[in-house]
Amino acid sequence: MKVLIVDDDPVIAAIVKVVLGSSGYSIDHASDGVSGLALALSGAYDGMILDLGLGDVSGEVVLRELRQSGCNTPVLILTADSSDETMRKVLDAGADQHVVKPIQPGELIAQTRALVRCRKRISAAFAL
Amino acid sequence: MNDSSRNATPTLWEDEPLAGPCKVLVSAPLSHRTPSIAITSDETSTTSEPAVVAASLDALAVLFADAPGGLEAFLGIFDATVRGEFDRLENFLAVEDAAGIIAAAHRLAGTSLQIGAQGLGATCKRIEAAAKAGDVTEARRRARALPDVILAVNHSLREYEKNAALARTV
Repeated sequence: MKVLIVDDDPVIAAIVKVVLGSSGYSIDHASDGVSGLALALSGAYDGMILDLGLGDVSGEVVLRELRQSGCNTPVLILTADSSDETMRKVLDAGADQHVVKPIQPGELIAQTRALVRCRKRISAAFAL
Repeated sequence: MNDSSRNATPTLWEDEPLAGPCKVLVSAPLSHRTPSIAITSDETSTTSEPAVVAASLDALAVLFADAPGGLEAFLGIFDATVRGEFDRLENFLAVEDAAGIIAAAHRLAGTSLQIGAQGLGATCKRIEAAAKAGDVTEARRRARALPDVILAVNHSLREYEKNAALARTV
């Protein structure tokens, strides 16, 4: 299973890589929104973990671009902001799940498993 | 308190000396641990939160045990990230760029809280909140505590690593 992490914080990226790597996921990392979007649009990923507070463009913009381009890769949003308004905005923008930072390894693994299940359901639906 | 920490010249980083002593009380890692690392600086008492929560470092030590370079390499990433964000924040504060201050303080808070550096995280959140309220003067005032708070985090991380190395030799 291949997962893309888009986060400009090397500390968060290192944690995601080691947590998901130890659970057997193959991880690619993009440290900005533009390169993250380009990688995500390749369609090579079973899931994408996207930080909201990227330095170049916001994660929400990346997410909207992704969905407008027809990419249906499941997206898990990473954010330190657990407000209802933020959650509503990112879900409306096309996110599938979210994890509030600081990241708890067990939660991240479970959410990623759910993300990949979501991908499999989408693939199955398209195969019908 | 350990003798070497009491006598050491406090530095933010190796090339950046700071004045003033710093009390460092560090728990032993893993099997010898206590609930948290409590650090206070004699220079400021702007934060009552622990510098670094030992349980968070213990969890990270387990997480990075099999990763290349282990916890030490990860803490190197943390150190470099804090340096970069601190410099960015200082630059934004110097030009009173509220949006930049908010972004840099937000990122520094997130990074800090992820490793259990609660004092640094809380200080950055206060800076972010002041800038969000449009009070750059207050953000600058809050930011004056940062060097001491970062110093405390660096001390506690070094002590943790030292204790972990000691524990491995026992």
